[in-house]
Amino acid sequence: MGAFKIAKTVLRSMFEKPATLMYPVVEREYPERTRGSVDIDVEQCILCGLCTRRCPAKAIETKRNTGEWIIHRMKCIQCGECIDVCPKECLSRNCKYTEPDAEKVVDVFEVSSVKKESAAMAGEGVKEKLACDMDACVFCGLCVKNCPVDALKVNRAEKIWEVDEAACVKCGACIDKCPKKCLTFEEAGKPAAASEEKQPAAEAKPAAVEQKPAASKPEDMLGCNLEECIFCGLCARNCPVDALAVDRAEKRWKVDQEACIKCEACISKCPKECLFMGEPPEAPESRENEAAEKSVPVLDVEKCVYCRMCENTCPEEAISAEMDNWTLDADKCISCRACIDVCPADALKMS
Amino acid sequence: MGKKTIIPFGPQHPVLPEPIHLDLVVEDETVVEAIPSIGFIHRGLEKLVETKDYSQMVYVIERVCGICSFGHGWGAAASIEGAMNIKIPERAEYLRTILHELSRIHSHLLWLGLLADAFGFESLFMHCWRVRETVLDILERLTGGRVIFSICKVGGLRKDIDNETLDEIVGILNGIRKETKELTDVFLEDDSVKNRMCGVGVLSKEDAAELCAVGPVARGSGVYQDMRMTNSHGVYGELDFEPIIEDAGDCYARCKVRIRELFQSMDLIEKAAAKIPDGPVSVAAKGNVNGEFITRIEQPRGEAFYYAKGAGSKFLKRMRVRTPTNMNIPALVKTLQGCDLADVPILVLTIDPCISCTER
Repeated sequence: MGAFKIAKTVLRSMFEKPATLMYPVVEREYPERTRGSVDIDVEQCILCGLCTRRCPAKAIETKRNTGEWIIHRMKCIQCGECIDVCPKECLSRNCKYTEPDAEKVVDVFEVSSVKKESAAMAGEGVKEKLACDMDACVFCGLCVKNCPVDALKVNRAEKIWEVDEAACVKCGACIDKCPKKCLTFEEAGKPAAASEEKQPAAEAKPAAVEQKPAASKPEDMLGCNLEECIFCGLCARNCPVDALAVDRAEKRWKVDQEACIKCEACISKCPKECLFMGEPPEAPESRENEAAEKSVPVLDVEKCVYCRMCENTCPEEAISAEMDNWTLDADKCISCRACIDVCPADALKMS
Repeated sequence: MGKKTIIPFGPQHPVLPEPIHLDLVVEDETVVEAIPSIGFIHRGLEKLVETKDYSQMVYVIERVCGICSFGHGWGAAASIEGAMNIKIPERAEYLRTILHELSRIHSHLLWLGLLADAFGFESLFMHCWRVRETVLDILERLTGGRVIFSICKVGGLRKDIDNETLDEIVGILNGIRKETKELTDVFLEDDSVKNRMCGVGVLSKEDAAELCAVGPVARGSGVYQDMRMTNSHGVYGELDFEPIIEDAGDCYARCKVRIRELFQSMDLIEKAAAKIPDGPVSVAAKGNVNGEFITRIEQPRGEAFYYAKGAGSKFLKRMRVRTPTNMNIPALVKTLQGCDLADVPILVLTIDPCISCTER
């Protein structure tokens, strides 16, 4: 109990130096770990884009085609994720923020040579190497197109897939883009999945060709068996290069053969198996049994939100999605799975 | 019968660190009723689960509040780790505990300063914050940031802190103990300060329990509740932790709880730094979140509740944060009934309002 208990502190502080620094005459000393803005050593940048992917605030852009590395200074939250993940360690931490400005600052750095040989990587012990599952690979070449350092070679005709391990920077862009998900990083030491073997030709290769566009007929062109096709549009939805156009109302199926990269994603997705590359296959015998064992979508009522998307999407109008009364006409259903694709609540599953 | 007037308090007010609005129904200088409104700082951070994957969500949740930011980062990371069934190394648990206690020291010093400012004692306010600067410098040295630390990640910590640094930190904290004691003695012993706090805003134990008050608000009224006793997070079980309880239920009791917790945190840091094991500080978090998990953390303001739910993709389905001030606002409204108008700022501050936590 007492009065003016703060006397001691006040008297002491009258005779001590002030606790504040005379900034800007006296500058503060920052500890080592202080997180400020991000600096880049552009000579080392390989534009792999890992920083872009990791940034929580989407403050970094990597433009491989123009060779630019762009950072939006006002979006950066100074977390340091980009610095941690950069494989070339060209990003570093500055202890201060960027100077204040009247406009939102965007810094653009030009990387002088986009295709660099990472000489530092050559000869070093490689912990992980890129491997391709040759059974799944369709030699579409999407990995080559997306490799920032041109470390991959794919030959569609001869079924060759090769990686230059010295050039590879392990950025993972090829793994992201592969439509067949056949690329992975493996530990060095394990035998790679036959990276230089030629895949034995599965089907009858050359031979005369087929249908639709009666123009020039090179051997591997995508074709569709129009009698079986139900125009569900799954092939168009899954095409990575938008080479297919399907019109359900007018019963039209069209492929842009020049855009087609022969990845065969459409063939794998087609529910009626009516697409083929090259020669049309023979009609499988099991077709007749399909009607008896047909699997149709089944609704999980708990999850249904009654948005009626399934009803609107069904090409055969087999679904009636009224509140508390969802019905599916199994005779009309063609198992195209369009309703399953479009359901926002994941409430439909094939039986 | 006096005339009733409605006086608006907030969202801008010198004592408020964050905006809250109270409509005070006042009858001749006595507050009869208080009607709160919140919503001035709602940013919709929980909706960002739709566009940011789970490791980026930790950064988002960390930024819910600047004062309690470490606790939020810990809670978000721990609830995602629980949903993914990841067990983090022992050293990481110790370091998280130490950093959280440092965060508690800085938060309580901030609050003491604001309380002094609320009754006009500006020099005490400045001294408290001057001492707080030492703690913020420590935090910057350990994590890289003074307010937002960005050191918790799913799987542990992003950076290690070596044992020599920890010993230095303990030394620095011991160095400010004496000065802190002098300042807290002013709060507890000075007559003019006590006149503003003793007997003001009494919250009985039954009311505190019924209104679900949490943190020092509950502990100041005698309710025996502290999440650190439950071993749900951190290593408090190995540090002989006992919660601090006072019975009076007035502002003075709540102030005393926070001051004693401040010194208790310094002791806990010293004990943890002595006992910390060696080892890694993180494990790799692979794969996606599938499942749900709840973590409860004792933030400086009370119990905070973190719920993470994932459904197999890299985006979480739901991240819900329920913060302590959310639960203390009903207790605030109760204590405001019948108080003097001049006591309203003290009472609002005594629950340690962190409205940006409440509204996210």
